[in-house]
Amino acid sequence: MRYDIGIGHLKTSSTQGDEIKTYALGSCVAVILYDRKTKIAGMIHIALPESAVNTDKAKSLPGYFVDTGLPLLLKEFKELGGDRKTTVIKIAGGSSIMDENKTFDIGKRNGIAVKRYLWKNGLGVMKEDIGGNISRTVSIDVDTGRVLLSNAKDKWEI
Amino acid sequence: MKYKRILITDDSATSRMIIKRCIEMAGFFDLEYFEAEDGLQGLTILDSEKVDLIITDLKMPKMGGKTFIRKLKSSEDKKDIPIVVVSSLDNEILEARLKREGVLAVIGKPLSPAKVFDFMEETDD
Amino acid sequence: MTEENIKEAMIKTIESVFSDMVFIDTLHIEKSPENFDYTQILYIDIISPSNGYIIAYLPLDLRKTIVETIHSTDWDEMHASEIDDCLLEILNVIAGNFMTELLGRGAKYNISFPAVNYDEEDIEQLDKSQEIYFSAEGPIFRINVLLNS
Repeated sequence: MRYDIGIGHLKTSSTQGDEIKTYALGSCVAVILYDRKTKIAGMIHIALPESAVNTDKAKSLPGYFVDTGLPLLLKEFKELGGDRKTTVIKIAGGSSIMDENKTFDIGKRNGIAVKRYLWKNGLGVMKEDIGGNISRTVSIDVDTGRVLLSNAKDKWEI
Repeated sequence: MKYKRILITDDSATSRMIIKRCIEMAGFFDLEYFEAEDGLQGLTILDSEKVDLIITDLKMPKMGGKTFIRKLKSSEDKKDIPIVVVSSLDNEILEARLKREGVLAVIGKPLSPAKVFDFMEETDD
Repeated sequence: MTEENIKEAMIKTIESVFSDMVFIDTLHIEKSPENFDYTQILYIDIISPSNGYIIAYLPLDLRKTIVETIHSTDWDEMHASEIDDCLLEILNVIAGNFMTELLGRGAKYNISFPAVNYDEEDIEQLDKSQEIYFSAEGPIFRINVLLNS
């Protein structure tokens, strides 16, 4: 079965045949986990680095922010049986888009915030496809762990 | 992963910690590490410990990476240990020279789990 | 090698080293801040192909954030020597990446070992260096760079 996840949502699965997919990542970042041993997959579609900018939103949709979303994804992934020792972490998205006040690049900051959170928790990104000015649709196949990216023009794998 | 016992030679304790963390974050656990602050200490450790990978910085006091590598390559019992250079001195001429001298790979600092992962994927058979 | 080249190379280097090593998004600030406070400076000599130096002026709150992130430990639980070693390693990486950014991967260069310095008066030609300010997701820091041609 295919699960399409929207902004601020996450999904984990250990069911063979499942696919988790998210569409048109701009400055948002998808964090994709895959345990190569137990074949468990997880994905989250994050929009902003810090929940402090909107605590109400963080309560209603924690997956929207790096600091509230990633702990949830990691918790769910672990509960399903995911083991960090055999897990590959990939990230995609983070296209260059300036914030409303044009003071910083949201996409870049999202990517950095994800890596910072992971690093502080003893985890790291092994493959990434971030930055630039493209829109990315990303999916993971639970059987194989293959992460496919696409946009209007191309398809590629990371 | 074929490397189980690794010698890390770098004068910065922070850098040695980063290297170990990046290896672990790239998915390689339960390895045994030996740490040296310079080439001299590295050679002393290698006299008593058997390792299957050496990761070394270049710019170190007492004995820098270039001399350390030359000494390793001219030693009968150490010349076959694979060497990876992790350094901020990122230079094509130097990289070519180090590879001619038998260095397996040269990786620029800052190191990241992704760089370790790519290296392991390329070299692990 | 113009002042503008040097500045551009430093801005690019700081942005990439901070995002990849310290996980902080830095932005160059064109205008010097009115109040800039620091207690310690980090110094590294550039030896060749021409001589000069790079100095990092990092305020305490930023030093804390940097060290706590890299070590993933509380600042209070760390020894002063570990803190200095961490900051100096970052300066070392900045210096190497800066020279590569400025001269290209085909050029040879040499830099010294970095050091913590408490006294600016010991630094020669400080008035000739370029002052470049950055915002590190809030805190402001400064890099001084000089390369004699």
